[in-house]
Formats: sequence, structure tokens, C-alpha cells
Amino acid sequence: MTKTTTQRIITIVSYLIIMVLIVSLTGLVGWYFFLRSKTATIVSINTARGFGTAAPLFEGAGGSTYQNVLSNIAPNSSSTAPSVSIKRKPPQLWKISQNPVAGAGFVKSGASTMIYFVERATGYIFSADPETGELVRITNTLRPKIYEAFFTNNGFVIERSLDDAGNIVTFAGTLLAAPAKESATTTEALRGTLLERNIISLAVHPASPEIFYTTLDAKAGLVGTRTLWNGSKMKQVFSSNILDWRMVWLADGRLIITQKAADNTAGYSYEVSQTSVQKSLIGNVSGLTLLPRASSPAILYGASGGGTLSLWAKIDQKTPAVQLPLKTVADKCVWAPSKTVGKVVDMTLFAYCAVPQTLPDGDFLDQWYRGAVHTEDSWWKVDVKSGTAKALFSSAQLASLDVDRPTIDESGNYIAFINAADTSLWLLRLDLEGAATSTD
Amino acid sequence: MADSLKGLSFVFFLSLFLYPALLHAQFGLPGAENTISITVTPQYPAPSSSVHLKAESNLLDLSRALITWSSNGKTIASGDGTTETDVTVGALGQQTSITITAAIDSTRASGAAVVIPTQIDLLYESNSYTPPFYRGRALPSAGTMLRLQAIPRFTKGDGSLVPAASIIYIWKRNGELIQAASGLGRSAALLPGPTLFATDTIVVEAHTSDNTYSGSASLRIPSVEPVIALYLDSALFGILYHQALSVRTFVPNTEMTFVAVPYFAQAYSPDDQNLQYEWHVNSQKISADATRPSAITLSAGSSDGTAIVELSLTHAANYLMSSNSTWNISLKSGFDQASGSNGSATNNPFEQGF
Repeated sequence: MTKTTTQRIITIVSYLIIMVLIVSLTGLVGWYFFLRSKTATIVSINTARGFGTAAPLFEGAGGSTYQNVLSNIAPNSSSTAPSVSIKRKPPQLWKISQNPVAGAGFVKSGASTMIYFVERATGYIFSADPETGELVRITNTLRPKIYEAFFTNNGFVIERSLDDAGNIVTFAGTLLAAPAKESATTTEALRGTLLERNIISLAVHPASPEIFYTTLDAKAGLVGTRTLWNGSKMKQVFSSNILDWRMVWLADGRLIITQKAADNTAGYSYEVSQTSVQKSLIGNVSGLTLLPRASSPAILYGASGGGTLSLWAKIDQKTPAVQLPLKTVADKCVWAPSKTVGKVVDMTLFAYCAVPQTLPDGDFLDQWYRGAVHTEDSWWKVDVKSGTAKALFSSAQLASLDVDRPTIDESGNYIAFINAADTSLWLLRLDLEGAATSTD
Repeated sequence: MADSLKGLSFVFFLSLFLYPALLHAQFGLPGAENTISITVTPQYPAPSSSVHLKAESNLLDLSRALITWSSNGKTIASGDGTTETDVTVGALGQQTSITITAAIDSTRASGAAVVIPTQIDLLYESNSYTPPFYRGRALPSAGTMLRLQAIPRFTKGDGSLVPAASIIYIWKRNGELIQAASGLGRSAALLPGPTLFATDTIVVEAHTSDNTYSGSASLRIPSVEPVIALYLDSALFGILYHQALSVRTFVPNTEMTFVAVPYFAQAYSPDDQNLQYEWHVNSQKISADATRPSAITLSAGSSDGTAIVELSLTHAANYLMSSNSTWNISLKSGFDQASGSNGSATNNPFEQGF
């Protein structure tokens, strides 16, 4: 073999090796991209299956639901995580709960006042500290799909749901054995009693363990019954051929019933006394919504007719009603509580009302109650005696909040309410000189 | 405001009698002392309201007479030919005694009436369907029944009320007596609601057996059309009654159950066996679930998630009831980016199941 031939063979082998290397590298690169695409697909699928999410936490003050469940079931609900254990003074307008709630109320907890609320999905009860922003899960008894909940200020709770057959189930529980906020790391079972099925409407006394509710009756049509929280000592105090009533039990013991409202339809309201005699409170008002005041004959009432709203006030039964310069419904108002300075009780009649910035076309109440329309409200303070009102916040600060079921604490410093658009829970601090308003 | 008239009424005695004080007064015509009648307008005045009084006599020419009007013994008007005047009646249950005396020369006549304002609240609702926890009133649609309740306030002199059970009630619809609903103690009535597009006037008249107290109240009740609202039925939260779906709605899920709620329909529940649901999704008829026809579950599958959902609701026994609604719903897309497959909404957008 000549030298030239040998060099040629070496050259050919070199080329072959180079070609093999190139082909190999090309194959490896292709394989790399192939694997990468497959990996991306697998990651995507795994993510969709939830493999990429953090392991659920079964601890923490907020509990597993708040920390692990992302609520995005409703078209307009946002997906931010709920605020848990902020441990700092919350903003003046505080979104307490991202997840839907069934009801909320102020409950005394030692020297402080807490907001208690029922999570709609689980029936768990949470407490929120308006001073520190601390959010604590109180109970661990699962009662799914709670539609309606009530609290008394001394720790009783009502949770209402539907069974598989569509019957209304009402559970009366007590939080008296629940942990105080100091021992927030533990949760307790919610103990209580199942009341009779298909309670139509219900009111709780704010301070005593008593309930008033209505049920169907074959003879009377509807009967109203007072009972203790555990269902004992039942006493029928009311009957009616009309079934659609809304009820309020005031701290002074007065039980107020108001016909359910509809636009352009006259409504009536009565006080039910112990002797079952109905004392007329207000009547023949179209689209009547009513807000009576405890320890006072004053009432706020709304009227809805002819496609518009009006708000009225009566200081007592003898004084003519005064129209207030606000277009809203009484469902969006709360009375400011009386304040005691020394031994003097200030009975100044103030109320706070959320007022829609614009009203939807057509009749409001029917659409609002159906959830077909929602409003963007501004808060106003109403001086009932003078018939005047002044704005508390600019509209931009409370945009997109459709105030529903507002409740005020005994000190008059906080208003908790549910945003009807997504049933999230909010707290408004009324010390207007305080921190700047913001949403959490 | 509703057209209903407030159930304010009163009872007045139009007994014409001679006051004892006048028995010994001089008069030229025997028996003329009892011949002035008083007409009160309105017939059923509200408490503390102004009423118009008008005097008439067949025996005496009142236009020439010196007339004196008194209310509870106090003169309120006087003058020649003063046959009409106004007076403010008392509060609920408070008696206002009206007297009139007329004199022409030596001829004297008189009359009297007693006005006791009463009150009747006339409440109504329908037995039409509304969902649990609904805060509004059930309104009547064609085929439903009206529940009516009269709450009379016939206040006696001692402040007590005449018991509702001892009052006679007369119910009328559009001027026609409803005998079956009327009678002693019949303060409540269950009547057929107004027919489609109609408005009925319901009147209740009430009086005690001795006619001492009486009153009336009326209502104009229009018929409404049932309203179908569509809600999400969440596995976690239940039916989201607070959020009726608008005509165009995006749902951030690839699969979701929807329920229709027939507000004000003649039904006991949304799944009342008399209600007939006909669902169409993108023009394809979807068979309703026999046990829960008010619900439909949509899955975006491999489509872009958009569908037009149409619902027609009728009633097996009520041919007047017919409602149609359409929603344009966008579920979260099930479009598979990796495979590049794309189901168009027109071809086969949705899988449905129950």
C-alpha cells in the first residue's frame, strides 16, 4: 500500500468519523428537542392534574380550605388567596374573605369584638380580628353548601342548607365552647341541634339564645314559633295566610316581620307581640324594605316603584315620614348604635347606607334579589332627624362592591358586609380619621 | 306605587235622631228634627284625614236655612245655606261625632253622624315558585293562586280591637262577589290569580254583625310572566343564586352544571313533573334528565368552549305558560394546543351529560 493510498484512507475515515459525529450530534440535538417537547407536555398534563401544586397544608390559622382551595368557580370571582393571619391593622376597607361566605356577625370575644363568619363551601366558622387582621378557623365540623347563616353576639350560630331532596335544613349551633383567639391553633367541633325541616324564614335574638322561625301549617297556612336554641320551649306566637315574611329580632325584644318585597307591590310591616297581636309598623309602601332600630321607634324604609328607589325615615309613629336624599334600599343600611358618654346615652339617629352609584334599567328589587343585577355602591352617613346625608367615601374607593346584609358592631366602629356579586366578606372601618382607605 | 288602595275605612252612624236637648225646642213641623242626612266623602276616610261633609234634607230647604255644624260638640262651621264643610277626623278608632242643625224661622231640624276611622291592610302573594332563601315576593302568573289576607283594625272605645274572627268579610273580584270565600271570620282567601296579561281588582269589605264598624280595602293585582334564571350549580358551593347568568357569560371551568330556576311559575319545584324543559345547545336538542330536568351539564371537551344554550319551558296542564330564554356561554376551552385539534362550536362543541 503506497503512502498516498494510506493518506487517502485516513482522509476518508476522518471524513466518515466527522460525518458520524455530525449525524450523532444532530440526532442528539433532535432527541433533545423531542424530549423537551414531551417533557413540556407531561408537565402541562401534570400541572392540569394538580401534580405541580404544593402539597395541601392541614394546619395554619386559616385552615386547609383557605390555604389550599382556590376559588374561581364564578365568572367574576378573582383568584387571589385569602388573607390569613395578617397580624397587622387591616386597611380601612378590608376584604376578609375571598371565598364565598354564608353569613357573618360580630361576636364578643373577651374584651374585644370579632367578626365571625361561615364559609359557604364547608360550613366552617372563622373569626377575623378587625384590629389585627388575624383570621382563625374556629370549627372543624364539615357542613357543606351553607346558603344562609346567622350569628348572635354571644356565640350562637345558625347554618342553613339544602338536603338532596331540596328540603331546607337548619342547624343551630353554639360557639360557647369554641377556643378563644389566644388558642387559635386548635379547632373544635360545632355542637348543636338540627331544627325541624323546611323552616321558611328565621330570626335570631341578638343576645339571648332564642330563635323565631316560620313553618308551613296545614290549617293556618304559616305559623311562627319561638324556641330556645336547642329547640326546646317552643311557643307558637304567630300565624298567617301569607307565607313570604322577612323577620328581624331586635335587641330590645321586639320582633318585626315585613312582607317580602317586590317592585311596584305594596308591602306591610308589623310588630309581633307576645300575645300574638300584630301592631302595624308601616304599610302600603311599594317595594317595602325595612330597617327598624333597636330601643327606638325610628325606622328606615325603602320603596321601589316606577323603576326608581327612594329611602324614607320615620322618627316615631306619630311623625310623618321624611324622604332622604338617597336612592337605595333599606337592605343596604345599618343604624349606628347609641353611644354612651358617661351616664348619658346619645340617641342621635344616624345610619349608614350603601347607595348604588347607578341603578340598572327596569325594576331593581326583583332583579337584585334574583342576582340578575349588581350595583357599585358608595357609603353615606345619614342624619335621620335632619333628613340629610353626606358621602363617606368617593365612589372609586368602593367600586364594584354590591353591599348586602351589612351589620355593625356595638361600638359603631365597624361595618361588615357581603359583596352580593361574589358573596365575599368585607369590613369597613368607620374611624374616618384613620388609615387611608384601601382594599387588601 | 301599587295601585292598591290602602285599606283605610271607617264606620259612621247615619242614624238620624233627635237629640234630647231638642225635644223641648220649638219647631213648626212635627218630626223635622230628624230629617237631615249627612254624606261623608270619602266613604272610608283615613285616620286623621280631612273629610268632606254634605247635608241634604227632603223636608227643609237648607239653602235658606241657618246651618250650624259641630264636631264633638265644637262648632266648626255656621252660616246661611252652609250645606257643606270639611272636618278632620280622629286617629284610628277615635270617634268623631258630627251634628248639624238647621233653622228657618221657627222651624228646626237636625242630623248626626259618627265617624270612626278603621283600617284594613290587604296583603297578597302568590303560590308561584321561588327558590329557597329567596328574599323577594312570589308574584302571580297565569295559572297560579293568590293568597290574600285582610287584617282589619276595628278599634273600640277602650282601645281593644274587634277580633278578626268576629268580623264578616265579603270578597269581590272585578266587582263580582266571591261567595265561596266570603263569610264570618273569612279574613283569608285563596283565589285564582289573574289570567295572562290581565290585572284583577280584588276588594274586601268587612263589617261587624251589628254594622257598628265597617271598612273596605282593594288591590289591583297584575299577572306577571315567569322569569327563567340560569345559575351555576357548583359542586363546592351549591347553586349560586346570587349570580344569575347574563345573556353572555364566561365560566372559568371546562365542565359545569347549570340549573334553570323558573321564578313565578306554576310549580312546586324547578323539577315539578308538570314543567317541561326543552334544552338546545348550539341548535342540537338535548334530552333532559328525567329526575332533574331543570339542570344541564356542559363540558367543553375538545371544543373552544362556546355554546348557545336555549331553553323553552312549558307546563303540561297550563297552556298559557311558555317561557323561552337564550344564553351564550363560554366555558374554559378544552382545545388541545399540542395536538392542534380544534372542535368548532358549530360542529360538535359540547358534550352534555347529567
